[in-house]
Amino acid sequence: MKLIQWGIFAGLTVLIAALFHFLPRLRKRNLYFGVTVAEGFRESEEGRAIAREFRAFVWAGTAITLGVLWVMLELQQTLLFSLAANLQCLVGCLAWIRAWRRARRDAVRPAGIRSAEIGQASGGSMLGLLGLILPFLGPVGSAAWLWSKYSELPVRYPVHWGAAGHANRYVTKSPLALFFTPLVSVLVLLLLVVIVLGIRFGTRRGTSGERAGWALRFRRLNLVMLTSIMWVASLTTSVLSVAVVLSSRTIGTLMAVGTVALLATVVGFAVALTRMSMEPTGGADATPDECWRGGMFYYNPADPAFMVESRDSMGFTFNFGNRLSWWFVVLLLTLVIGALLLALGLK
Amino acid sequence: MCTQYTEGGMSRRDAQIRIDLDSSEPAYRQIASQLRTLFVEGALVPGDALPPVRKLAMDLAVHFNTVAEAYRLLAEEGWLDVGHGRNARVVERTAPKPSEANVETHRQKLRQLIAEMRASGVPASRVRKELTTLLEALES
Repeated sequence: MKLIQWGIFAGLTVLIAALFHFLPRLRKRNLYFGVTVAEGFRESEEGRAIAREFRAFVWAGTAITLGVLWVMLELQQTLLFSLAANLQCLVGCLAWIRAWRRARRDAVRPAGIRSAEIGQASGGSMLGLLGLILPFLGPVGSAAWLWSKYSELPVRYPVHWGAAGHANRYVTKSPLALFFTPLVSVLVLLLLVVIVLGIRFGTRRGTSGERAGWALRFRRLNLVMLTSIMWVASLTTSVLSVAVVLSSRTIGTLMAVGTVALLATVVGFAVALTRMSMEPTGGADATPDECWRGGMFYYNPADPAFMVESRDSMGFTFNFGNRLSWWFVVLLLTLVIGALLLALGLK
Repeated sequence: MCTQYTEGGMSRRDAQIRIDLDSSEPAYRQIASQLRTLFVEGALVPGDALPPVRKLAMDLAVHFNTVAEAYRLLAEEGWLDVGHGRNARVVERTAPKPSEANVETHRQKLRQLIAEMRASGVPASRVRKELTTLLEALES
């Protein structure tokens, strides 16, 4: 059992390491570790040396993480085991920052050309609006159904299941315990809505020439991806909400299907976004290099954009020079801490 | 749901402005200059609403004040009506009577521009063609 548990985490760790390994190749052609570089830089001697060093750090971090995970499992330190799982990402981020610093020596100045459509407004379609609203019906509907069946539900029921499908945590029936999952689901959906609206109304509509078309397609695909994640998350959490009346076997099957659906959605869109990022017209956007901290965080108070195209991932990131972004971070932290406190209150 | 900045269902999809932040000319002047060109050429007509300052600034990746300054300049010239809480709107403008000195100033500018084109290798026939095309577009 211990070996299976370690095997699952080891598999995930190696998968993340592989993603880090190929990350330098999966980015826009004129970006290298978040730095604007000349077209052929990544194939140059220095470009290859930066990637080699980055990968060496990533794999060393992965080996250390696997070792630490095994030791924590042997010592049965569950909390430290969970923390150790993040060690690799920490090492990967530090390796990224190191590579970013090195790549900056060969940075080139991005073109200062900017363009904007005057007559084309950014509205929203009714279909897009429905796509954002309808996922809320899942958790709200399941909460309403639970409320109507409240008296018929068992006094004590399982809320957590192990890798083998056996329930390993139970709670006593209460309104908080019953509505916890739908509530968290609604909050997560709300966060996703904020991000969707942020991308829809708080990002640039595109710059000039060929890149204008690319930027619009990239933005549209991100919006479709986030909306799809909302739908899958809504369905999965709705099933989880009514788990109290389902058999362990049914829950196991449905959760497996839900997890696979969520992973397939994310991976499918990530592949599409990566391919799009590597297109010749997918160059850097209008953000200055000096406003990217560590090649990951964008801070530019002079830029009114709420979100901009990310330089270290396939989507969008916040402009921390915009006050709204900090409000979003506060909202996110409040929701995470609030959900944790509520979960601790369940017995 | 889909909103247009222009009135009466008119869509000015071809109206685009382009600025160069590396240019020695300030960004607000470039924006004003390009919008003025769109007004003169009829791409934007009286009654049309311009994008909100925030939106245009975001698309051009410049500060709000840069766009606000450009709108203010055009409002001073009589092209725009800028009020608080609503989009800037193109208004009917009566062109002032040009003085001889004014015409002379612009003639000098045109001469310099044509000389620049010629100096960069553009043949005289092409310069003539470009000027004719621009004049025809202005008259139509």
